[in-house]
Amino acid sequence: MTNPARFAVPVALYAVLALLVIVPILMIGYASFLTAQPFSGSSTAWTAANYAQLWNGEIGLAALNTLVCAAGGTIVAMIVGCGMAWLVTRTDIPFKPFVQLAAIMPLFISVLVASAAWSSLGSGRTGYLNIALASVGIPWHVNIESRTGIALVFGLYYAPYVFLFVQSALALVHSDMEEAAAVSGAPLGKILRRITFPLVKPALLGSMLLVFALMVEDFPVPQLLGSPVGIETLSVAIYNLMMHVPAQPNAASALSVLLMLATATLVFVQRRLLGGNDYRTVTGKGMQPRVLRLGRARRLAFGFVTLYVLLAIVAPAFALLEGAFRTNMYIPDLGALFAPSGLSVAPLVAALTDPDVISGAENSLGSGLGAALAGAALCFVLAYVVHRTKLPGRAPLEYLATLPVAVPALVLGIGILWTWLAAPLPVYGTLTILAIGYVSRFLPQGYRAISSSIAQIHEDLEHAAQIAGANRLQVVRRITLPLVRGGVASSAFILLILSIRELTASLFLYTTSTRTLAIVIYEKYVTGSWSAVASISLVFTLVLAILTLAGRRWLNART
Amino acid sequence: MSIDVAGLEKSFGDVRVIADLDLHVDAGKMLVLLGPSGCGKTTTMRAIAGLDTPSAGRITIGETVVFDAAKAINVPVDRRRVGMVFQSYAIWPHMTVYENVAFPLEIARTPRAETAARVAEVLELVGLGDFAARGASRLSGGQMQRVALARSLVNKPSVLLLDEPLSNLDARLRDHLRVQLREIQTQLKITAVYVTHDQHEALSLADQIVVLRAGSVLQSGEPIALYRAPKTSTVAAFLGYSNVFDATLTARTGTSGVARLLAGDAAIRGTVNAAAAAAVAACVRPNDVRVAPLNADAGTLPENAFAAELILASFEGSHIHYQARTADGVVWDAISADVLGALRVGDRVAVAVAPDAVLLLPQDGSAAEIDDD
Repeated sequence: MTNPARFAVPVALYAVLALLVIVPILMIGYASFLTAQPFSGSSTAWTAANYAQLWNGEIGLAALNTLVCAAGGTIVAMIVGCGMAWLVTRTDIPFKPFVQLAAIMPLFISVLVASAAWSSLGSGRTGYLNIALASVGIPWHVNIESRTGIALVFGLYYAPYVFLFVQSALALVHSDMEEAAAVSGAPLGKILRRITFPLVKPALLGSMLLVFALMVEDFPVPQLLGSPVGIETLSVAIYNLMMHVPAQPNAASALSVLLMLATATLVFVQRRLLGGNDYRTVTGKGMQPRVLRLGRARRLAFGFVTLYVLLAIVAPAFALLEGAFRTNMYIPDLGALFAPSGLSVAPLVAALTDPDVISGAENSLGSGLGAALAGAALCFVLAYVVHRTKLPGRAPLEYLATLPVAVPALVLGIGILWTWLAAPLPVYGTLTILAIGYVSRFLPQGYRAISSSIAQIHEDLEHAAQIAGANRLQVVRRITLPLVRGGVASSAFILLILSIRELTASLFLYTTSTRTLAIVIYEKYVTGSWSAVASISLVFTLVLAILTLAGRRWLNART
Repeated sequence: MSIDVAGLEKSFGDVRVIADLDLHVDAGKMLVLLGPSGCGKTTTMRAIAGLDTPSAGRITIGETVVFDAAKAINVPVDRRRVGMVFQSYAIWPHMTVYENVAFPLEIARTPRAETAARVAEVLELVGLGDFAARGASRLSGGQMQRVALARSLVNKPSVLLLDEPLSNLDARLRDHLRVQLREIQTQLKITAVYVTHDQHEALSLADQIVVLRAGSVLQSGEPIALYRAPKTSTVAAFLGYSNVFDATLTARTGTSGVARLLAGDAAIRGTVNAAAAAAVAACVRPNDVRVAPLNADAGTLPENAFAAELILASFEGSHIHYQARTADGVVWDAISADVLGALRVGDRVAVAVAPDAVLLLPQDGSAAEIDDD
């Protein structure tokens, strides 16, 4: 019973995914063996010199910097993420809802804003934190513009990923198993070591590899905190090869291929560890795990959480407020930091009425909404075809949809730029190319949100409708879609939030008329307008925070 | 409408789950497919419904051929007009009870007034008249099961398919709904196929039972005939003959014969099945086994009586469940209605069984695999 129509849907989906994911990657690989940018009108020839020229001390140092920063960041993220996940799921730590929220809130602060804020807190003698330290007579100052600083910021803002993974793994470990060990006479330390740890080990290793890969490819943090003092990571090196005059797109491609191989390997190993199932949304059925009484350690544990909140949220927020409301940039001591005399709403108003900012907000919203709607629709069709049909070639679709996780954002941005420059469609220079870039980059997150909710629906529910006489479209409209409403909404919402925050791929896809808010912040930072950066970031973060809180219903709907 | 299944085959990859299966259900009757999990009973039902596509064979409902591999006929599931009750009930949680039951009518574009009347009628039939407006996610297991039944009946389907519909309910509710289900089926005279692994359900519901194993029919027949005369030891074990002992036939006169149990060499007299060869299994229902106290000076025991030690005496209300082990290690299962008997675990007992209660049947595989549910 082979029906040619059966191939129509898979072929269409493969075509879309090819344009979104495969062609951009191939474009980079192709360019890495050429003497000039492909499809740009310049004559090209094959060469291996792009790879040969990477063999120099500068790139070696960049690789070392990447490794050191990502490793340090991973250690911090693991300590914070695992610690908080354990405290929330297994102990009687006070204000648990607050701790839970504190552990994921930083996820919704853009690393761009966080880096900018930390730069104003801890760079040189004029950083707010260093002014405060000097005022109270501590002969030591923070230097955030360093490898340690980059690792710290990495750790603070990637810890929520670890938290989510480990928390859901811990929630799935039925506390009966731990109680059985306790009844057998095992003390707490032994229970953790022999029962809890082995059961959540895949989640621990998996989240460790994931955040390490994310840090290796991260661009905003090392660009803002490393570049001013000459610390270059591999992603920054690629960016510089592309942007410095004369541009070296082919050398950038070769380095991109190497970076992509590294992240792809990490992601591959991570998936193997998690058995191909890296949904962080699967939770147990409302069971109440046994709660460990912390006793005296309760305060210490809460202090640990408070310190994290101070470093990841309160301090950067303070820096943004200072930047946004203080007219006088000269701050001699701690007192001046809190003096009301220099405060004014004028800088904030000036920054927000800047036409660049207004059009940036419009562009962010436009491209973000476009990506959210188109992306969620695509993700639903993909997930439906993968989970609910027997169409030919459906299994690799899922693999393709989650492939962008393994591709550095920078590389994807360059690949998409070249793809659409070569395509005979007038997409370059419009918001559409930004939306395409966002769908491509965040396809895995959007797909997973829907995929996990479709997979949770018992197939009998759809079969029962078929038995009742409904055809496939009626089943989708009347049964499947209403049941995965939450998953679709959460997919669209995740795509919207992530798109609005996106900087790295956007840097290659924007033009002067399509600057997004993230681009505007970045440009203001590069030109040194800290007051504008702080004002815009403040509003940007507030809007994202409000959106996030408002959308928590949909984020939870996935579970 | 009658159902005819001929030469049905189904393979998943290299694994053949149904091999050359033939079934026939008369119009208005209930056929029960009985077998352990993995015997192909659910796959057979899903093939009739159209949810699974068989590899070969023909399925006819009434006069309509709904599937014929040779002629490439395959009526899609939504055109087969069958009703089905799923093991998981498959009640749509985002709809009310009314919306769930009305759905098949709505798809068939039934006028609203008629829909309302039919839904009310069928909800009344299953005893859920007052539940129409209730959200489906706020139902108990038994209520969901009734909604599923109402939904499968509302469109007057040609046949009703039931896939272990009672297995997720607790024992008391299961008994109650089983009786009700049979009443509704006979009242509506609807042709039904019922899948289960539970012999009580099969015996009490069926007009016809088909015992399946590994995708083939072992035996079929009316419940009482089947219960009285299973053809093989495996069928006997499915139907509640809990004493199944491998043995060798040593003497045979007409339908009477003597066999030696492989464990311990004890002789047992019984009724020999015509098809039996030398290797047989002695099969005895537990309620045909009598357990009596044994005095130390009893002397030799009569034929078909064995000395044993009581290892289980489990009082179960209307009866007592005994287990007794002979010196040869043979464990007898017995059910006694004499609940006031004073036997205690550890007592010496005599286990006795009448020769006409012992069936000496051909062996057709291990009876042990029946225990899986």
